[in-house]
Amino acid sequence: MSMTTWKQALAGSIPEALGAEIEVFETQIGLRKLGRIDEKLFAETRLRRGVYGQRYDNGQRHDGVESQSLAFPLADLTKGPQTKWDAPGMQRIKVPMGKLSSRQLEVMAELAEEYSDGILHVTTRQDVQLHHVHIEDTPDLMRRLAAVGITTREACGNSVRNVTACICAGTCRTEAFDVMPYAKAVTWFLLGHDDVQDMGRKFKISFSGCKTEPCGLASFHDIGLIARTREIDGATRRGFELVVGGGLGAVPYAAQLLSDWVTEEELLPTCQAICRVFARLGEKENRMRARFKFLVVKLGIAEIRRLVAEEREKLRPDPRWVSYLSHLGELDEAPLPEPVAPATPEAEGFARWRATNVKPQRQPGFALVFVRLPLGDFTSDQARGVASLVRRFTTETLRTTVEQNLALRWVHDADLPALHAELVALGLAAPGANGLEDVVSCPGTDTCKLGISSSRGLAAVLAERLGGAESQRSADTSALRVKVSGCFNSCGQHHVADLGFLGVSRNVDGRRVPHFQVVVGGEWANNAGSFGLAIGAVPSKNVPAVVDELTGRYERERQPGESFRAFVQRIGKKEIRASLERFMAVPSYQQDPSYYRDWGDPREYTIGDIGVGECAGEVVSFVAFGLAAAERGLFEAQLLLDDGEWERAAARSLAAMVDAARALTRELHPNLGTGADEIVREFRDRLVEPGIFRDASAGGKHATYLLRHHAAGPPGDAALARQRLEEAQLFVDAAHLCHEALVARASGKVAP
Amino acid sequence: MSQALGWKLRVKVPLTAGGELDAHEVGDTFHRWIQQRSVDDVAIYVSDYRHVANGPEVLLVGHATDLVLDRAGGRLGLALQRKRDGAAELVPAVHDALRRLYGGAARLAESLGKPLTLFASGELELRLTDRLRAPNDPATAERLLPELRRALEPLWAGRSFSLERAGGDAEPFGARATCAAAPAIAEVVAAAARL
Repeated sequence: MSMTTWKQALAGSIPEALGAEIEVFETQIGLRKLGRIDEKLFAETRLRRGVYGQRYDNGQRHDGVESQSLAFPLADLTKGPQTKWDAPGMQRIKVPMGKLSSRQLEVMAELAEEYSDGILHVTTRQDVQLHHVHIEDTPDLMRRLAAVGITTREACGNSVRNVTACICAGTCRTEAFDVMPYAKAVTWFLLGHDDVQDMGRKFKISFSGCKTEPCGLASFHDIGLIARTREIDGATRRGFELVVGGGLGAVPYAAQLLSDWVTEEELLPTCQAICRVFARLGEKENRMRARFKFLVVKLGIAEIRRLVAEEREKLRPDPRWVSYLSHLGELDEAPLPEPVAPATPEAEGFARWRATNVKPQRQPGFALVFVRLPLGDFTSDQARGVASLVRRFTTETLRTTVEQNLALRWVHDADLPALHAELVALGLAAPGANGLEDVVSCPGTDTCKLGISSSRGLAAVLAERLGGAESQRSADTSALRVKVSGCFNSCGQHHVADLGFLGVSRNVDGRRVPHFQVVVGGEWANNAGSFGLAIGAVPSKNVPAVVDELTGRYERERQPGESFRAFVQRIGKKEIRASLERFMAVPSYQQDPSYYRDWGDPREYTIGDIGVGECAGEVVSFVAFGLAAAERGLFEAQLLLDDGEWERAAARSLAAMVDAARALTRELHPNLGTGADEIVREFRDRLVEPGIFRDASAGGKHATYLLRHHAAGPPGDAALARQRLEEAQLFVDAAHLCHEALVARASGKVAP
Repeated sequence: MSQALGWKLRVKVPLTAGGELDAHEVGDTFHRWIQQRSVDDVAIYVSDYRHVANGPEVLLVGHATDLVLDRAGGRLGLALQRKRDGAAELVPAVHDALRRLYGGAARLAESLGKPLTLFASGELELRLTDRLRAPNDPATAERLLPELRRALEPLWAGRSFSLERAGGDAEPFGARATCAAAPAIAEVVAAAARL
């Protein structure tokens, strides 16, 4: 039986652009294994395809007694600095706006079974992650996703990450209008765009349909867009309030108002201009200060506003800025014409489930249903079950949510009992979605290299403990939000929780003890309106008691209608800290050694496994990427020539030279297009004739190779094709030297 | 040999009716094995998924194989998942998985001070997780069930057993083997060790 590959099996199913990207990545994997791509460049390359590292991928793991070396087969090969090739990684899958089809979910279920551990994980940015994936499986994984319309491109790395959007869009009572088509337009416009390839750090964009609800969480995004309308000349016009410079991380920054009115027509170019400003002026050396929020604070919002307006004027017009407006309705959803199972009796637990997991839509008779996923996890079998429910009860209205759950929209009220019964059978009918017992957590020390304390271990304990006591709580207390981050980087979004916890470590009598810093009174509503107060650190094993204490006090002492945030502000930080003092003590090791182990982990606690995180990626410039693409092109040309395909080899050689020329020329001309004629012309005018593209030994000779081959057209025989390849290699080598010269000029130094 | 040519598969031995293993204790045991450096693979993680219904409760994640206390399908058992570097032919790939599975079961029982009879001697679930090589369809069943039967024959000392396709259409190709007159689990473990 002949062996088919996934590439062959899916031929014709994968959109050409997505397929080409995956082939590029697969070639880069091959080149890295041959040592022909620098490890930092490869690391950023794979991050920009969502191929992330995991804890212990430096080849070391503390077993509770000592650190062991992990004897991976390819011991000397790395996929990034201090990152072993064979170490399992995490594949992040972007789900733009959280919108997922049943077929896409089924494919993810298949991928989880074959390449991962059979578990799908929903993140706090509406992505889906698969853990323990081997890098050599990722091209096929990406192909299978591409065949159902999903790209993992720019899921990680220093670029625009997944664009998130309100999951109630189109059904919400308070929204100005449905933001989904706008979020989609921004997603696909910026994906792979030149102006987002040179960023010094990740960039996050969110959309919200209204100001008061939390769904978009605009206040802690690099760009937050809040829908609004205006009456202009007798017509209702759509636009956005645009805020910039928000971010959580170690120190949260609230976004600031850039403009209270950005029209639909200006949405895309404004976002593009902001990205350009960040790429041009953002910090790239000091990774800790490289987020956009730091630039906004450094320059001030007025200056940012001026810079964005100035950049906007320079942009090369792009028809995509407005072309999407002619098909705004393509994402509109509708219900099934009739309920499918209206006579189903209510099962046990239905009433509570309905009270907590069902949100009436503004359209009478329909509901948005939350499917609560414990710690954001569900199995492949459960995923297939949900996919069936999506097809049975809806017209493909599934979403992932930022609280690590799923949501089905447009469910007939009459179908709720039947849907609940099906969810019970799947083990997915837990009530309390988005409330106190539905604890949100980042991956933490389970798999993250930066995790300090076990956020998932704690979250699991809290969820179990809080879930058993729901009948003893008021609705107000049950609605509180608990979020846990494994470290100060805030991936669990603890700053905006009612009760937030971030992992820290303390030294007690010479031993390390896992702790969590307690942060109270954050505001989830009003688009994450404000950040909580840090109260103090308690040992991890005492956090459940802290939760009991604080929720108990709120339950007993709150005033009518008082939110937890207002309660915290009223009684004050000092009083809250005083009530937590007794939980801050750590018993001696002899008294209770369990304090010296983290939740769900029998090992003696250590911070020795903390590695170098990849959230910051590697700063690789647009030019470096372009030159790497040129090198890859030369490699492919050589292979084609070796296979006797000299015509294709010649074309690939020329394309490699054009790639290198474009990378360099764009440094001087940011609006450079992608057509070869324009690139060659601008390269000649800006780099060759001024004498910039030259080196000490050959002068400007190597530049002539591109000019001549571009003008000459295809070579006539294999010998000429070989000559072209050799000259292309010399050209790309010279391009590297020119890059060094440009860098030296930019920094004021003289090039060697 | 290319990575892509090795079989990826999963074998699971369920617990006997009423049998239970505590996931917390199993997880602790996995951690101890790592400390003792006695895992036959590069052991990397002990993953806890007890919070997920009918899922992998706790996994010992290795470079090429995972050993899993698994409750998929609502039945608790021990599973061995081969993810990479598997044999190119199905029979040796299954044999390798069975050696590791039953060896793991025996070792786990011993580590926990439980009787080996906790594990069912005459039942086995198999799944071929490579959907390209083994799509879940009648053609695969016709092609591979005989090979799977051949692979399992030595396990139950030549006693007759049924082997049927199992699992839903959307799942990976699966099969369930049942030997009504299976020898004692200790003999099955010994037979697996000789595969």
